[in-house]
Amino acid sequence: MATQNEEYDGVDALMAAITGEPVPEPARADAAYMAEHRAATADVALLREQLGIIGEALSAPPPRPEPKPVSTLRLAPRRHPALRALAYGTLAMAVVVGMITGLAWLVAHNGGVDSAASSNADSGSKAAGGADEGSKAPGPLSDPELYVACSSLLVEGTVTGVQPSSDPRKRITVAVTRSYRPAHGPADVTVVLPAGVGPAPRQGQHVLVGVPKGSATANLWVVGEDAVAADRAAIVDALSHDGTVTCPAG
Amino acid sequence: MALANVTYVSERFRALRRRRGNAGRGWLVLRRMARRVREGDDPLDAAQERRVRAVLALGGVPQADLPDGVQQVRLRLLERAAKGDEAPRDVSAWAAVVASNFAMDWHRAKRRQERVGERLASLRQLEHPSGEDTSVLSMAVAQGLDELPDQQRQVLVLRFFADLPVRSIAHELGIPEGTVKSRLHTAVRALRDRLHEDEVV
Repeated sequence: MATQNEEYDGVDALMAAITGEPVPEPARADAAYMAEHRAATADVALLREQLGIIGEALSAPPPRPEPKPVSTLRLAPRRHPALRALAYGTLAMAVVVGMITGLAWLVAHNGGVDSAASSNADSGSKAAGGADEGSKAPGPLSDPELYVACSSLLVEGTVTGVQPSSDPRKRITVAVTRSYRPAHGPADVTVVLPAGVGPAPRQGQHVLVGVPKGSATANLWVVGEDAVAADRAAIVDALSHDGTVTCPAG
Repeated sequence: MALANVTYVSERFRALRRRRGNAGRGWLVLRRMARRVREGDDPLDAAQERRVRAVLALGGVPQADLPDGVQQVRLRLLERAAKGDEAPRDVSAWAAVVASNFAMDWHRAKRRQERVGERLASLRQLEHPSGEDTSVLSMAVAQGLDELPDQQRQVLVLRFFADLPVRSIAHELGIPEGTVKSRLHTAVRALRDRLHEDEVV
């Protein structure tokens, strides 16, 4: 009767399971050998599975620490019924409303067009509100890696032109200072902002603007040095993990 | 390719250039290759990069050094091309071997290794549909990996994670097939014994 270490042609049951080679012909009649081979094969399969799980767990990018907002920017009541505002914010000084620097995301859900706005104190009041109190609904950059992966255009720069139009959507031109998507883009880009976006575009604003793949309209609109700098860090970090997240099809 | 990675690659190429003196033909090819990387022609696709990261992590390379390891693999690919060598027939397998060697070198250089089990424990929870039992099993396997000698762990990862045949492992590492089999046998037996003793299987 075969023991665990019984060998046929110099191959024991465990080695046959490890190499994946066929069991030696004489061993097929050895029930104990075959039983050990089945057990070893099952353990090897388990080992494969576990190495996959462990490898994936250990190689995944580290979880991003939760932001520590001093306070959440409360948005003004909804002004545009079609817009739902989602806000993240920081208070530079909690008691001085005029020094609030924040970031507000607007997500329009009429027609599936998203817009986002970042605001400083005065422009924050211009941002269309409507986020449910206490809501933590994410803005486009709540998952920067996914956002970057799904962007066709993501640039930072200065607004040099706002084309007047009767269309509530605004077509703006940005002199690009940093191009994230594509990595090397043109010096100037023209972008269409969705209707109702705030702060309203003006020449001279320092902005971060993003357009998702498959769309002609921006869904990321961040205004102001501080707000742009805050999101820049998230974007640069996301780009350092470029390739780890793919944009879902459709 | 990520901006940060491009910057990193550029720095590496500058360092290579310094080490090798002023440019020869090989350096010019490397520069062209670097430009290709910047233009998005990354020698590793996303799946291959994930696999390389996992091989490095299973080899005990800490999270912070994983990007360095991935870039080393990219550089090896670029250098190989610059020398006029043919591209590996199976880039994934080749990259896994290079990554496993990087992990070995990393241990030698650092004279320590990160405990895979401790890292795994620090992760909040393994994402796996099987739930808690799987986490216990994964922890046991990770701790078993920690206890293996580096050479055994390397062949184990190449065989059962990278799915390389014994012959390929032997060829890539430049050691006899018998040595690979012996290391695998010893490693798997040790892991099995541990898991059965711990009654996690």
